[in-house]
Amino acid sequence: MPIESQRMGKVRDRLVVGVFVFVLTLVLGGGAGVLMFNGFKQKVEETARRDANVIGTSVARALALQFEKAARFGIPLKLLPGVEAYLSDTMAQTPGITRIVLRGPDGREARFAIGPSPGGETVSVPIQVDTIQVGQVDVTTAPATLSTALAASHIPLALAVLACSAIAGVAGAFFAGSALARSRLRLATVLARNADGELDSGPGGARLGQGAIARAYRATSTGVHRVADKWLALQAYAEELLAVDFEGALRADVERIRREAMPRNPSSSAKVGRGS
Amino acid sequence: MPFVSRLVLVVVFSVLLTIAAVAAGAFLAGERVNAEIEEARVSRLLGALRSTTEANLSIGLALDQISPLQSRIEREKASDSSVLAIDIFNAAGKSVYSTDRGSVGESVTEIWTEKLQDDGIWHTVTRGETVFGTRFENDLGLAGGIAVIVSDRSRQARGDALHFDLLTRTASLASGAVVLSILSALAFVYAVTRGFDRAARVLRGEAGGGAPSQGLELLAFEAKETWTKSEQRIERGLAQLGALDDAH
Repeated sequence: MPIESQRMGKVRDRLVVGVFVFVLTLVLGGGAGVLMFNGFKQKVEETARRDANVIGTSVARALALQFEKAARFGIPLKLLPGVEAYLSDTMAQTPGITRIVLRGPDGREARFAIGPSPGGETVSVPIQVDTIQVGQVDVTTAPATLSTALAASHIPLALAVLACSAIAGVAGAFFAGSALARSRLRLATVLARNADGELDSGPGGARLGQGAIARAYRATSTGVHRVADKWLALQAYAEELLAVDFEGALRADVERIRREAMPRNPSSSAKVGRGS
Repeated sequence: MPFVSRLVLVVVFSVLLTIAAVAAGAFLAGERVNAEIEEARVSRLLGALRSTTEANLSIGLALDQISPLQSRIEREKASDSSVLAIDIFNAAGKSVYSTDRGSVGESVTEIWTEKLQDDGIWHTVTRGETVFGTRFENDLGLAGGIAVIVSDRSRQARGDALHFDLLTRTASLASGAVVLSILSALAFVYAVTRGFDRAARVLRGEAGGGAPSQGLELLAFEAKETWTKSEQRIERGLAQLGALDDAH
């Protein structure tokens, strides 16, 4: 096999294995990572939703108490000054809520403050004076604002998955791809020698475990041993004849037959092992 | 180590590493969310106390003259079981109002006064407690600080629940991904080593058809041809030796 072709084959094997490991890691590792992260995100958002409700309820209760004081003095909620600014300040100071609405006794919106985040659940607390409802405070929660750290993790995690896949691809190319390339090259060398008439059984198949590579080496070894066994039988027969040829009349014919029958250069290059 | 073992090892390790990286990222993000939730629960209280204090200071009252603050912080503590204590202290670090009345007039922890330099909400974690604080100002600038000491129990319970959820999700998805990665690796090995298999069939004489055109199959075909010719020569030689033997 030409040197250039061997080098190309080695590069191709490494590349194929590296790309496979990269893609598999990206698909399976990344896919499992996405499933895990999304499931975890839902769990965190569920927790955040519960906490946002607790915060919303606390804010609504505190506001309702304050408006109750005003109502006790007989000031209509619509006429209270600076309520909208106060509601906006309260909303700005309190993460997890996105809307505060003060409703009058008729249920209509009297004052409100609205944040930029989409709303979740709404908590309502009545404003009561002597068991008579004079208004209501609605606080709409925004649990997503409590879990922004998770949303911000998407890009870093995607980059981490890509980095892991790339490292895996390189490791696969050099650790596994090289083994494939080496096996292919070694078998090609052994087969080329055998095609040239040498008897080379290559490394023992047992060392290579199971699989197609080991089967190919075992088949090579079996073929080589079959020829070698026959050659040994011919040698033994020839030696047997020469042993009883006291006058040396058969030697020339036996040597000629041996030369004609033998595989090419068996003594210098034959590597017939019993490793398999 | 054979190719298949190496590939399975690399693939399994890579998939597990990737899942572990995502899990670690999710864990850190979950910790941040947990801390943010805890801060959110306290920030309203801190904001309300700061507004009330600054409103009273702005009308000319001194901090120790705003006596309603004492009942206010006691009421707030009573309404939230996770709040362990609330302290309002002046810029010199002396406690002026506290839910622990015995500590009024005493110096607060030094770190609280150091944190007053930063605007916004700060927090420090001690043994089983987290202290959230903020500062308040009068017309002349910094006038003091408010500290709310919160039990870590709810935070820990929330954190434990999230960690357990993450752990079970990671374990189940990782085991599924490992099984799939092993199966995929074996399928890939089958596909990529078919040339070896075809060569083995050629060497065993099981392949039909003519001579292959390239690769291991061609080399196997040539090796097989050489072996066949060698065997034929040896058979012929054995026959010739037999004839010699018979003749003598």
